[in-house]
Amino acid sequence: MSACLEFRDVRKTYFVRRGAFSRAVPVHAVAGVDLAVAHGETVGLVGESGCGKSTLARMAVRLDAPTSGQVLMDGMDLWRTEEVTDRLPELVQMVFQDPFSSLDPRMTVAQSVGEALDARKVGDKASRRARVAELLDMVGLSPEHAGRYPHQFSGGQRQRAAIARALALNPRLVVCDEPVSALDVSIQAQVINIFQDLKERLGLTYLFISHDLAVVSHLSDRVAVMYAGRLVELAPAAALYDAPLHPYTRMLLAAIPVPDPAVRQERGAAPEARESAGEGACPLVPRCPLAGPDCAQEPPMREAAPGHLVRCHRA
Amino acid sequence: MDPLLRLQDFSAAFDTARGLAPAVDGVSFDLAPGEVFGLVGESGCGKTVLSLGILGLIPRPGRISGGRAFFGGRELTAMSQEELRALRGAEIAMIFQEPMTALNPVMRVGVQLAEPLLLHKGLDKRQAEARCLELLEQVGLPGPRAVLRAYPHELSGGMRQRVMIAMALGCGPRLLIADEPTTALDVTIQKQILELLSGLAAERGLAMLFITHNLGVVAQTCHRVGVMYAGRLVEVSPVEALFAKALHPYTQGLMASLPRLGSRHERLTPVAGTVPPLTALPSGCHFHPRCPFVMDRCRREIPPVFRPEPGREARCWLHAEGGRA
Repeated sequence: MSACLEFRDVRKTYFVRRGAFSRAVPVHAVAGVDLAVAHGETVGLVGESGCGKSTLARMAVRLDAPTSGQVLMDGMDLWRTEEVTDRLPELVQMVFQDPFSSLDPRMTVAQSVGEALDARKVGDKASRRARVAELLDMVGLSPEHAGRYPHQFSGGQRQRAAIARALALNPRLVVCDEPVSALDVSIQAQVINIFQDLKERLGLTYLFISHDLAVVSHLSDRVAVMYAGRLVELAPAAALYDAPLHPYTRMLLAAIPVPDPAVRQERGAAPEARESAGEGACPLVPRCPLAGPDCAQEPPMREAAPGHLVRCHRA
Repeated sequence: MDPLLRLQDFSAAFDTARGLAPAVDGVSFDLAPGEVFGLVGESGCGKTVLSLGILGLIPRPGRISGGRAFFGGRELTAMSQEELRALRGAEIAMIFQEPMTALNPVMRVGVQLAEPLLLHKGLDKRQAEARCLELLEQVGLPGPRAVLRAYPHELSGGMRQRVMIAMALGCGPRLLIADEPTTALDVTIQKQILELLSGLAAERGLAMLFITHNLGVVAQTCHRVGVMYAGRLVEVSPVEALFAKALHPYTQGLMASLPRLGSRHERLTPVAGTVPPLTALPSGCHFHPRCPFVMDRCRREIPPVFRPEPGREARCWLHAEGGRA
């Protein structure tokens, strides 16, 4: 069976001008990613700002075209298969970080949630209304919320509405880009639980992107760590957190402040990258405590343990 | 030791079309020199308004509506705007969440860094430049001369926050108010900034009011913690005690809500319900509609501060047995 979502050597290059008169230089936002997400699986994607995780997410839902490589859904190329274009909303949906800008402020929540159903004329009016009510119930919103507008909602309620809307057409894959990052802790926990309930109930597949490793570890079956446009480690969540192999993954884990004052964390954090690594070199070189001469040649991903991939000479 | 900062029943409110919104309601605590006091709470709990209130900077239509604040024995709440201005940036400094918006984008870093030195310390330009270089080195910025000539957009987020800290330290303040100073930063950069701030508190006896929503940051950075909910300080505890056993049900709820590394696929226990709007606060204890231990009394009477253990405070009727303050 083909994977629900598959990236095959996906690259995305932007051309950026550093000044009004300077020439545009290529920036490799995504520099060759291979990743397959199985049906019913949750794959978490972590990395720091600018690592390319959001660009990857946007390519998974066809908001951005890859510069090269393929994005496949159920084995169909998102950009080259005619039938995908039509079916795309039924295949994949996205939940964004800020539910205020992703919901139309002039539409009631029921209208927003039902918009896709109306556009595709799914069933008749009554059945669509029933479906909207069912969707709202699934995300823990009550029927009286249906007629309200986004500004009348709290951040948590808005994100629930955005999730309900994403599920309207029964997509198999939901791509979530920092969906709980803008929420307060107590509300964040409510929304995380909803994601988990929906997965169990509907057998959803998630590509779950966050900079918060605790959130990702909580929800994911496998976790991919991204750095400078590449995957540097991919492993089952337990293995990644208990036995991280890549120096960058270790760096990230060591930097997370532990919510327990009894745990004294080691001082000293990884330096910021001040210069770029040379052409063809592992991009972590300027920050890496283990870097050596052989790192001038970036290694390919290799399987260090069953199902545990890492891209490092030293790991 | 005398406290450096003392708040007594400090309150601040906003006049709104829907009536008076009590953003900060009767907050009292002391802050000693060298102490890092964490102020924790969710958005809208009043932690930022409180910190602005200490500086006399609450924007209209907000105002300090009651109580008093003291700094080094002098009453802040009785000072004129002029006296406060002399204090701000000199003895009390502040750093913000987003250094990009706090820095002027069309001024070189050096000019902005030198401004308070010229203003408060009366240094001449050459002395100010020397002091700026010294400050940039203290906050761990490499190549300080290049940084002085740079515009804010040429620096990374972590570097900008270091510049903000350098600016705050310029006049040798005794109190630093840090409002979510690492929230916009990546974790590895966050760790560097936190270590820098902790070091400053330990080495110079700088007192810090550290505002954050991140309990991990609190655990690793603060000595004492105050938890705010809907304008009230509901718990004050030393950090170890707070994480070992929180006294207030709201604090307990926050702790239980946290997904932790290694807590895979377990259900989290969120705090039920949502934070009430400031214009429609519940009677009695503001937390009662969300509290799993709510009693009749909680709906009617505002809980006073109880001290069930030495050094610990909780505004919760569950601790009424512990004797009233």
